[in-house]
Amino acid sequence: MIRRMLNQRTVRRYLDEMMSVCLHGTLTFNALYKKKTAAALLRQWEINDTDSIYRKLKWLLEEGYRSEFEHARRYLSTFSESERRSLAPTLTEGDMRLRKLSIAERYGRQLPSDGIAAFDYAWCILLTSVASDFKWIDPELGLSYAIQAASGAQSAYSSWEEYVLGYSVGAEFSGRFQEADFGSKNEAFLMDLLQTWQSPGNRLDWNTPLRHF
Amino acid sequence: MSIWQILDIASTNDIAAIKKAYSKKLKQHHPEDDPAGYQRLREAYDTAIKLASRQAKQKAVPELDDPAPLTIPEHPEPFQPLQPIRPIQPVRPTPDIHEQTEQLIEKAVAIYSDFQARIDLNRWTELLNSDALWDIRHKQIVGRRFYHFLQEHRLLPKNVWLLIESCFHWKADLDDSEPDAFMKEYLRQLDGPELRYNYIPSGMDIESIDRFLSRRAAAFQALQDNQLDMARTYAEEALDVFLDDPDLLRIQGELLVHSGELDDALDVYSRIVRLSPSELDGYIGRVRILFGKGLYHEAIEACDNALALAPDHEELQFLLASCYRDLGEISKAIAIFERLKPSYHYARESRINLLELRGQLRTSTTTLTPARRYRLRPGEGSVLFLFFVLSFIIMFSELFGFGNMYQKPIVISAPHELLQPDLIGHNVRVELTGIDRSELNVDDGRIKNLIIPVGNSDQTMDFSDTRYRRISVGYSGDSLVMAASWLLKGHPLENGDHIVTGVLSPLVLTESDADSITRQFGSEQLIREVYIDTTRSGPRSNWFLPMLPLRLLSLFYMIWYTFRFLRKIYRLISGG
Repeated sequence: MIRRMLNQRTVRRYLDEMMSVCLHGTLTFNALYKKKTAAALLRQWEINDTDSIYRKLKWLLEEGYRSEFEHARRYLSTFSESERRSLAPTLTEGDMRLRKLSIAERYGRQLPSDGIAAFDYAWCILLTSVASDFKWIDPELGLSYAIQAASGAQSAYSSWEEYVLGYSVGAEFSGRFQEADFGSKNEAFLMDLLQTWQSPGNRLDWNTPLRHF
Repeated sequence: MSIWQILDIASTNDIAAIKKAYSKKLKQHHPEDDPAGYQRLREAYDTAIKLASRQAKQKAVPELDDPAPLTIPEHPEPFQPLQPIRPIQPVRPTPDIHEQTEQLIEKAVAIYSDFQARIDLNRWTELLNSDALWDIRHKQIVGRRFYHFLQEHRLLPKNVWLLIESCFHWKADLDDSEPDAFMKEYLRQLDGPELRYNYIPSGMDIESIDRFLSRRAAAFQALQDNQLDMARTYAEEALDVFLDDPDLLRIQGELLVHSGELDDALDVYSRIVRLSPSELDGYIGRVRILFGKGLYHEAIEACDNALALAPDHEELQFLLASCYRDLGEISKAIAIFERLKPSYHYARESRINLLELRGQLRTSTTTLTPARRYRLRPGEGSVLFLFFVLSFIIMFSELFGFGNMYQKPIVISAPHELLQPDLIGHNVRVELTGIDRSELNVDDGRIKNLIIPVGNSDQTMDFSDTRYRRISVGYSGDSLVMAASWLLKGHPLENGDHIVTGVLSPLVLTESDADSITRQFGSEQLIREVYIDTTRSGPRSNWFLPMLPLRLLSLFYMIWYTFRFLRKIYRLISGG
């Protein structure tokens, strides 16, 4: 029983660490556990009732922003190396499509095949966690969604570093945040997070086995 | 710069001279090499033609470069009523324009049918400079016909599409409405990747070429639309016709990598390197696959070969650094990642890598992650607080009516027994018990607003609530004596009541305290028993050992909770 409790605790912590990448800007763990903030957060994600929570979670798990990113990346992959070099300066900021294309051009090559899935999965875990905590969805079902997302992230990336890179590009690509350039303040936050994860007291194996308890 | 300066002729009405000048200048401002110059030239040319044809009709109009100065007549003529304006007749195409257009399309078909002519930009430039297109009035008619022609003849090189756009401006004139299917294709041709035609051997028959080109274009389009299966089918069909096209091989490699067929993809990229050794696509594809397969030494070698072609190529440098990183040659990796830090594409990942690599070299910070720092879910705060209260009760059970659970009292029969050596010098708690109510001569059995002098100050206690049966006062032997005697002498207590002193701060019993108590109560007939509890050193009750772990746990919990609470307050104050 004790082993089970410890495993459960590890999984819980793993999920928390995964969603902590979302806590940039004004969002903090403390804010998440205030009903008002949590409800506002869900509204930001166009979630108004239980049905829409499940719909959004399903969307994040199965499609998410990563499919759009993948599309942009595929489009760019048809260009030759020399064309891509001359293409980059022409993708100016402004028009949303071009902006997204320019982000895909800038980071598409560095990311593994699942691209910005980290962003979808991290938010899936966070939204699930918030909704379960306030009993807006069945906590058991919520946990299974979160674990599904975490497993997805584990198979998509090979380390916390890749995960954070995927998230940061995803946050920029999604355009969900005010910051036009995600690279300054929030990137510093992610770097801090990475550095903290590397400290011996916080080290958590990326491939921590996840099971639904 | 006037239009005549652009055309490099003096202002003239001679359309033939303008056309000649335009053709001459066109060689200098080729639409592909200098689109801006071409645009300027074309505009100047259109304006000049327009002016010339207008001036041909109205001979009296002065030359543009030397306009007659506008003067206001000193004696203006009297006002004349305006003549009714003749309604403007819509420009009707002259009958021969249709003929000219058909001739142009025939020529276009002829060029298209001959593959070498089709990929020759000069042939198309010549065609689009033909007379039918000079007249701005007819351009729309010709354009419409040409548009239909292109719908059926789409397999053209990108530079021809760009030439067509510079001639007809269909993209530039596009409004907000949804473009039709061909227009979408047209835009894709203009903005999409360039599919080269120069690798196709001249000996191939035109049907095979068209079959190859259409399959290749379809494969690219499917890949752009992220329809990988379809892209693969088309690519394979195209490869059946012709194998040595680097553009097609490039996407074939991409598709093979996606489906995990890395060995085949490696072969494909090697083939691209053989076909076009001066281009980077094949090299990069090879390096990526070798790196992905963990063949770091081979990948480094391939990287070095490619970097010899393009030393500043960031992706190759990044892959090289990643190879060194995974081989454990950290200092080499760090040096390259450092170089890539200001890079546009690789800044973020270089920083992440540097962080990781340096993290391996030095002892990292011990800060907690946010998940561990702030971890408290809804309702957990209340549970923690409840535990805190429980811990408090366990630790200070005397305050909550559980008596002194953990110590065994030493029973003495008379106050003078306080003077025994076991007690002097120890922390003691004195309880006076066994007082009979009748002997106290109590009237109503209640105590109200009892003022007990404690030391130099007064302590007010509200005993209107009869639940209070224990009175805790005093921090010294003197106050204990004073309080106890005061209570015993004048105030009502019930049978079995306790007067407990020094609960929170047990006093150290000195000889003078003991003397004082003995003197005070020695002659009191009211006292039956005096209990003296030792605190730490005295005998322990039967509860002491079983409760010890729980009490220790409670103690630690209280310390942790208090620390957490203070930290929270600090964060609130500091805004962190």
